[in-house]
Amino acid sequence: MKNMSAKHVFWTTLFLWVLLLLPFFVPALNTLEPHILGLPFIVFYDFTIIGLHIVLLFICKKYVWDPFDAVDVKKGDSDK
Amino acid sequence: MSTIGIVGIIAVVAYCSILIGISVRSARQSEIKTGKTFFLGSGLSWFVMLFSMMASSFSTWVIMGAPVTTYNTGFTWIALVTMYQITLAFVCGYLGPRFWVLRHSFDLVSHADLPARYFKDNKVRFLMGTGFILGLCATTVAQFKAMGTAISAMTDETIPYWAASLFLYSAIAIYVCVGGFKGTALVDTLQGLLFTVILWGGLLVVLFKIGGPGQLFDSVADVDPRYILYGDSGPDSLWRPLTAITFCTVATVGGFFSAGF
Repeated sequence: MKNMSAKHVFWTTLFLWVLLLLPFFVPALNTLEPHILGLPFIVFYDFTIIGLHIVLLFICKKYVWDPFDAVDVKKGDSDK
Repeated sequence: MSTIGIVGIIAVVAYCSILIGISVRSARQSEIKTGKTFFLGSGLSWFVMLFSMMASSFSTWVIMGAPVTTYNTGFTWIALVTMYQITLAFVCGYLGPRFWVLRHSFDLVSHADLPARYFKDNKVRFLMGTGFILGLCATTVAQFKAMGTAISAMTDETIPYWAASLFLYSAIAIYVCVGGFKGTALVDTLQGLLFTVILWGGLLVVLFKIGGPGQLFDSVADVDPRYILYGDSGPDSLWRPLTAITFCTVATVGGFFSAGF
């Protein structure tokens, strides 16, 4: 996780988007049965991908993105 | 005038009075401390910033636009838009610190300040400002129309929708002009909290009445499975594959590529 870069995050996000769109093209995924945890399959599938995206967001916050105060901003840099 | 109409009018006037009161109080406090009122964002806590951003981003779209669009176009839409909202957080997380540095290095305030500074031309600022205003016109007018219609219904049509829209427009203009950035942020915080309570409260009430999320989706599927399934879902289907792919491409690739991958 600590070695993840912004590019890894980009490709992972893209992959999750592809997964989300997959039921448009794979009829086997675009179905109400079987029910998983009481939810229709397609709804469970969508919620799982959204959940994975939120986990990725948490990983990014913890390991990938720079915090806002990481750079010491000095006034007057604008003159350089 | 019916009882519902009187209660509705009292509720709307009380709500707007509270918003204006918060804004006026914030402006007075700012004037006492600094002698200035408008651009006072640096002293805001993360809590105020969070709920202010939530209210600004979601606003009436969540309360009025999303349920109607979901009803018309099905579950596909809400799944894609939820994913899009999370993707926005990624774009902000990646670009945010860079814009933070730029903002503090060059004393930038608005979106247009950076390009105007780069091109050394104030016309860029004017052009961008005009673009923003024109772009927002349609959605802003739609929001006023929706809010006016809602208030007209709340007051049992005692107040016509145009008068309700005008009243809301005046109330918003007052609290923005009087309170400045900080006052508006505080008002948005209150509204953000209210949206959160209404949305989660509404969800819990519905789930409690129906018997859980599984029952909820099954009930919708019983009416018409196209509301749940991908494809030509809903009577006014919007999310056909090509539309969805275009939407996702703009949401993901557009945001990330602007960062300079």
